[in-house]
Amino acid sequence: MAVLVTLSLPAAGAGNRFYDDLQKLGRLQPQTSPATISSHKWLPCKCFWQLPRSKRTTMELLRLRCLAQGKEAEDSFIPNVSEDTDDMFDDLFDKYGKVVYSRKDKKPPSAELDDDAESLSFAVELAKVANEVKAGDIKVLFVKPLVYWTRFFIIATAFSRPQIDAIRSKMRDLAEKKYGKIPNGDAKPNSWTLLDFGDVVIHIFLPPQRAFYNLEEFYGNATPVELPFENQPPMRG
Amino acid sequence: MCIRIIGASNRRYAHIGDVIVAVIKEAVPNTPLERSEVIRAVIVRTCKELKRDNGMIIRYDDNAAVVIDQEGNPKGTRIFGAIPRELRQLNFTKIVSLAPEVL
Repeated sequence: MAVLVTLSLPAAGAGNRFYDDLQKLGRLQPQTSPATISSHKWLPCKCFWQLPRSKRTTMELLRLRCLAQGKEAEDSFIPNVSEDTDDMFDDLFDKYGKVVYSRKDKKPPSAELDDDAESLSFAVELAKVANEVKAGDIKVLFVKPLVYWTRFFIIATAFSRPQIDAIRSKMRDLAEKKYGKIPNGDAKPNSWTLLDFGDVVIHIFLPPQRAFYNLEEFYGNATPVELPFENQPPMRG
Repeated sequence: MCIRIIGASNRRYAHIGDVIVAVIKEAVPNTPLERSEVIRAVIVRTCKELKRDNGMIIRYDDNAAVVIDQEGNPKGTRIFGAIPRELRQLNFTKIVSLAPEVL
């Protein structure tokens, strides 16, 4: 009996893990709770133990089950599948049809949002740096819906080439120290200096070039991001 | 008309992303660029296929270049037509950011 108890504990753990997996996939039937899964003392512990931690998902389990049914489930490698799990799998089949594979390199939407937030904080930080060096008319545009190759544009005006150089080197230092990113782009200060951090692209113009290229108009449909220093009154010296 | 490819010795043909020295053979009147002017330009589209590592092949209907100045800024303000994303890796992000479509 003692053996049975010790066996059931890891089984319960495995059941919970399985439940987590299901929850992640959003495919759990509401009527099957972890309590019902773990309450069966004879639940196929072997089956769960065979699964490596995270790689095998419900989909694979479903596939295994498929195979098992094909080979007359009795002599297959999942011998003790309970009625409840059977029903659950049948319901899943009814609901979602055949097994569908998604691309493995595809990021979940939550990861995408995290990346967006990270890029946003990075862009705002860089805009702050530009503001410290007294760049004028700083705009941060969220251009991801318009172009696929980047997420944020920062457009700023500097009033001389040394100022462009100052903004550029400050941004570069901050990005390298705090975020470990090294920009591509112009090596020398230029009338239109561009820094390419991948997700964030920075354009620093001299005033005539800014009017000439008029990037804000070109990306007029992009959402402007509000900057924390915009509402502050200018410093009086 | 292309005169020479910059950064290459004795190369016969330029590909996408190459900077060339060219002469303007024909120009629209009343524009900043005149006929017979010598300029620099970046090749952005070629009829010759562009192969990518993933097996994709891109071929355009025309050959096209973007006129740039010595600093690498485009002489014009807008770019027409599609351009390939390889230009960004080759540090022509300014051209990419002015383009309406990036393939």
